[in-house]
Amino acid sequence: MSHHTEPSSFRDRESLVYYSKGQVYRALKARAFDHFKKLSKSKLYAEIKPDIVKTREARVPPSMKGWQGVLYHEKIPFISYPYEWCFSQLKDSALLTLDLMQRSLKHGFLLKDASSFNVQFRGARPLFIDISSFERLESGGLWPGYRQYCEMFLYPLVLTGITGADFQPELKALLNGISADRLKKLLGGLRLFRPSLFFHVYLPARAQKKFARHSFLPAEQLDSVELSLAIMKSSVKRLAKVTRALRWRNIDSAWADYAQANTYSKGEQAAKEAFLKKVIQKKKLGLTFDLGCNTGHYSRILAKYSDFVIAIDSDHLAIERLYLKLKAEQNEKILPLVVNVADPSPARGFMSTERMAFFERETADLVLALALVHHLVIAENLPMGGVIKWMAIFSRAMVIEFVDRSDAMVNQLLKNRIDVFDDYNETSFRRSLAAVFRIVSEKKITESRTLFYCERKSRKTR
Amino acid sequence: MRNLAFIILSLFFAFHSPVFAYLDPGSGSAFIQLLLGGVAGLLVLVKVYWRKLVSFFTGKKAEPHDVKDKLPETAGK
Repeated sequence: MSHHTEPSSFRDRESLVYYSKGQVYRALKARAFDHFKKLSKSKLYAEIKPDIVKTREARVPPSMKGWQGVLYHEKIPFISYPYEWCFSQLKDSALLTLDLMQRSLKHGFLLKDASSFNVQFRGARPLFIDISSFERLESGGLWPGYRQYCEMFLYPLVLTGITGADFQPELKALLNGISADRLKKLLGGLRLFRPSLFFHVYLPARAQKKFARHSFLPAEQLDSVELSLAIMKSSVKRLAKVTRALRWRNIDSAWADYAQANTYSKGEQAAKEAFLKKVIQKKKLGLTFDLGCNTGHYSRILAKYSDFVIAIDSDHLAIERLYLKLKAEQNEKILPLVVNVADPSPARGFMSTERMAFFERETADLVLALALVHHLVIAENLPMGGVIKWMAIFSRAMVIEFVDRSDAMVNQLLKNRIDVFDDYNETSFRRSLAAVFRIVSEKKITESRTLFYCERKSRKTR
Repeated sequence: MRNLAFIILSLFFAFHSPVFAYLDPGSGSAFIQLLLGGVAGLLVLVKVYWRKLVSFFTGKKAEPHDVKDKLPETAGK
């Protein structure tokens, strides 16, 4: 029975996540299995079930000798990371974590850590995936996950909430989040003395420096579970309050500008929709991507004919708006993410394999690349042939749009650039496409825009 | 009242030597949790700093805590 380990699973020495025959399992050592058994018998378990990934006990296979227990977890359709989430996705993940912590405390349990990697999304629904985090509170102490919560959830949200600057670039570079000291330096000045920032940023930064050498050890005074519970309940409640109050700075005015900038012709849209529907309606599509999804209009059409849609755009604001809409609908099929196709999330962490690069995670049954190629070739200065060849690696089929030079959008892009784009013409596009795909059907939508449906030629390993 | 608390807390942290942060990252958040831990938290803070408080009033020197048991903290995960 062959299986392969989840690369990031080394972080928890008592629990090992592995994949076998396309399913997800978690092997547990005695202590961790013991904690799980206590959890599954508690009233807490029934309460938290809707918010955690579906779990059930499984038998320990011979290949996992040495481990005392195995759990089966329902597979998350597509793994995403906090540096790909929009503001509200990170905020909802944070509040989910604190909510689970508060409910745990009520029942005499706690979360032993507060990593933002413990949350995954099923469409617009956040789910807690690290069942091993739950432990019975058996002795006094404080929340070991407090600082981690601040660094991985609170401080990135505060950065975007207070300054309006995106947090994703910070998290793309700092795997374990933003430290109190770093945030203090980024915010600077008198802002730090606002009550919430004073207690949650300024003092933590100062306290960490002050107590680094001369440790602060209240362990003796914290011998009772009741006292510890009371303290944790209070401090977690305050974290929840400050997290809930955070809003992306100036977002209302940004959205007002946004709505005005996006106009399109209804006839053109209808023609595109018709072609797309005709092409996919008879197919059985599992996972699909919408690259440059913007408002998510075409993602929704894809969602009608596929199991799951990953809708990505480099515009954080567009993804924020789409996520909030999907969340209100309780949509579990479309997962919106902030990703720049020209510079997607790289492989991260230990041995650069701990967290996978974005386009290496899955192969899509169908990829939508509408109004994308001209942006990649002209605005992002990428080679046409290279882009299409690269897309074939993760796309079994594509619906891709070519917009020629007569188009107003392309004109606009070329206006402020020296025209070095010799490869930007229909002949070159068809040639690049035909090199790796088989063009199955096409339709001229307008004078300047053509849609193609194509299927990948060779049988790749993925 | 709140302003007074700010001043006292700022002064408390104003004088410290540059340190190696990796030596003990947990202590800082332990202190903050007690501060934000309501009445129970303040109670523990007073217990920990009792000797220092006493020495403040009686003029005797004393260290507020010993380097014995440490509270666990999650490493990067």
